[in-house]
Amino acid sequence: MNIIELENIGKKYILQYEKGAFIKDVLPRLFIPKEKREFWALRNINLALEKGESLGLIGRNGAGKSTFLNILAGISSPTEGKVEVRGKVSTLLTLGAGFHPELTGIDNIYLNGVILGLKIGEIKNRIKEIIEFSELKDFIKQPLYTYSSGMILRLGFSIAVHIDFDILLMDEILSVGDIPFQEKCLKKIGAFKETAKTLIIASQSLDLIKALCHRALLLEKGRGILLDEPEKVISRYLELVQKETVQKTKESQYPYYPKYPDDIEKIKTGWETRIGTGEARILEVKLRDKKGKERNAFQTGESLRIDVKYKVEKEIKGPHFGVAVFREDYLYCYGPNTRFDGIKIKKLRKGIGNFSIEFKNIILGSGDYRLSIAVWNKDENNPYDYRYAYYKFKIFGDGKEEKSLLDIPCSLSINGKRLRKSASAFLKKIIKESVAEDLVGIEKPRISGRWGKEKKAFNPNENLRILLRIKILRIINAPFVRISLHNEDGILIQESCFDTGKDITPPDARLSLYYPGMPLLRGKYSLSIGIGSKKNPEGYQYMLSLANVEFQTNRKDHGIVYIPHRWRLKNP
Amino acid sequence: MLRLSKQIIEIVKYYELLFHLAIRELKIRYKYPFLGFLWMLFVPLCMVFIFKVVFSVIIKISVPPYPFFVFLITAVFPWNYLAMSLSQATTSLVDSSNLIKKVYFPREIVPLSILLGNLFSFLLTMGLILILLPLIRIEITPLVLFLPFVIILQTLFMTGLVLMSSSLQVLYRDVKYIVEIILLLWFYLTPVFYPLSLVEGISTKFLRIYMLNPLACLITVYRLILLPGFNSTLPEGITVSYLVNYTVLTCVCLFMLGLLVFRRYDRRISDFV
Repeated sequence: MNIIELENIGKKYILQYEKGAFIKDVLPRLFIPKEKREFWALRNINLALEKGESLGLIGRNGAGKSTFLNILAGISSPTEGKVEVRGKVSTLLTLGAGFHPELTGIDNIYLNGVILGLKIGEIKNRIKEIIEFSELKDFIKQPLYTYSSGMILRLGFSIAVHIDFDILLMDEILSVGDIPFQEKCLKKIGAFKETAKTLIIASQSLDLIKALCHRALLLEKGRGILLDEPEKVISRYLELVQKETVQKTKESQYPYYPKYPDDIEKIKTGWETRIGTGEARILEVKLRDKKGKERNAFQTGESLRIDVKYKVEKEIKGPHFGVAVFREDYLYCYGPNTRFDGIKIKKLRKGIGNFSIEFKNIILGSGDYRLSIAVWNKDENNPYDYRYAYYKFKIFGDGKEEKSLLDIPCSLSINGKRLRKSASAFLKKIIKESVAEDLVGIEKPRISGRWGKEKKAFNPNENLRILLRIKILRIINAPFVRISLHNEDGILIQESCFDTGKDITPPDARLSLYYPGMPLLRGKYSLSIGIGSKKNPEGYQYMLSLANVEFQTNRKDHGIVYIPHRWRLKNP
Repeated sequence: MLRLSKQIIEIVKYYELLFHLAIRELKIRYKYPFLGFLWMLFVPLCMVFIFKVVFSVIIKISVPPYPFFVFLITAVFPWNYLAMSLSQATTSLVDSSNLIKKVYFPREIVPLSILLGNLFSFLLTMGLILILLPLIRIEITPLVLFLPFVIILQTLFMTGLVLMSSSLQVLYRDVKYIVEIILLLWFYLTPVFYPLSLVEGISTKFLRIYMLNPLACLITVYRLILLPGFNSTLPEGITVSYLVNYTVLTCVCLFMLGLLVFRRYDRRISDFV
């Protein structure tokens, strides 16, 4: 039986000009037709959710997400339609409903718990757990006004997650406390998902929805546009919200700027500046998807095209074009240019021109990124126009917590049998560094090309296979495996996590991890491997820097990764 | 009727919340004063003392056969209970919008918790009065056993009132001011500060209309219970059975009316607070 059924739900608000005031409210009613004073916050929403199925709500501000949750929670009632909710509902719409600043933490736990529908006895049983989860310690006996806002939120969250419920409604609340506490909350919520609770989450954090939800509903102006798998809904949403942010026309003086901005200090000083001698000027930069639609948010694996329009003021000889991708934390990801790619441009005449670069498969992990665009002189020592980290875009990956630079597909096989890649974002954090147990012994892996021939150095995008033998003393039920690659600066490049779902038995298991192309330019990388399981979520063993892999190339492209691309030029 | 009982059951289900909110009110009110909860007893005690001084020492009046201040304290506290609860509860829904908009619970709980908090201090006050009366040589009769019933009736009556005023206040913010005016008018139309004989003195016809005021009956019933021999001072034509029947009838009716009105506006409350 479905746990939630919504049939043709609609919620109408009557716009009031000023609540209850005669001149501003009653009089306009006489003159403005009824239809114009009505506002449908939600209309024609249909939904059926099974027990244990989780739903993500996606939409812009004001799309009706909160109204939707309020109706499910019973806080407001729909104007039309039928709501059927079978089960106990708990809400995380705001943390700490009914908190009072003058009461102590403990008093507030009782009060808030009762408000959320707990019985006094139930709260008594759980109060220790709640206090412990909140990490408030002695502060719990102090009145709430002595708390910081983060502490209040932590307390609120701790109470909310210690309530029995079948359905949990959440509205943008995962900005609780500091990062360790957020991770704790995520883990707790992830655990709910596994105990077949139904979660309904409204969030702008698309990664979170992707990680937690089975389905997603896209709302726009109160209408349900698409109800489908999260991936599909998210890409529809991204199409919907394209526009803005990218363009910024800040005119600045032309300070000196170094030629190869690899060093982080130099990147920082250059951030968001514009330099150049001005013979050519970049007029317009647009990011487009496969269909040519303008966007500034993409999903890993999608196609990304950068269209640049420029104006040549004075004829120039032998120029070339370059782009560079930075991560928001000043990490230089990739910087190809036409010269490295062997494209020769004799001269540009006065006029308007275009160039574009297309990445068919943008393999970067989720995060905020910046784009530099430049028109260079012949020797690449003086730019005509260089907009440094000027344009912003976003990438949504598969919802990993820890930001890895790449997000590339890989496959794992155990004892010769292939597994699907797990989408669980929570496993990752669970295997702790530096835990070791005698039960498991991870041996030094063999690194090879596709066919198993041992190899130490690779070219960009070459096949990479990692063969592992793990000694085990006891059966391990459904272990999970985490494999990560760091560069010499300790930057996490790629991380893959698998929930094997199968038991492994003594004396050993052979694991084979295969990347059908590791897009790295040059440098030494270290491989870390960990094994854990649901029973032992801390992990049996996590081996740091177990092996090294080296990448070499003749390419001159700047950056860390290599993303295949294609230039298109239209010179004046 | 079925719906009405459903509504009541839903409220009763959340009794723990009701009590907790009431306790929160009281805790907050008495947390910082040095005397804390003692103020709940100290304030009425002072009031009695002041009445005593004013009406037995300075202005020497009496309502035979009782001293005026005794006559007064038997009625002024029930009146205060009503007036304070009503004016506090009227804005209660609007004031707790942050709660109402975030969590589901029967909305009736909010004004009722205010009522409950006031009921608690009223009970303390009545206990105090029952201790004081023998001290000032007023005999306590077995009639006092009816006191709990009268208090329950008054609370039912007020439940109806606060449910109406608080839900209407959400939709029409003018209600608060109207309530203030009504309370003032009602005070003068209720025999708190003057005996019924004064009204009878105007005209017997007026007295009959006057006694349609449920509070006039209720207050008189309080005096019947607390003041021995008070029934002999009742004006002609006003019988004890009329007083009791009329009080019960109006209290129950108003209680149900309050529930009905509240239910009618309930769906709109969370949209408007």
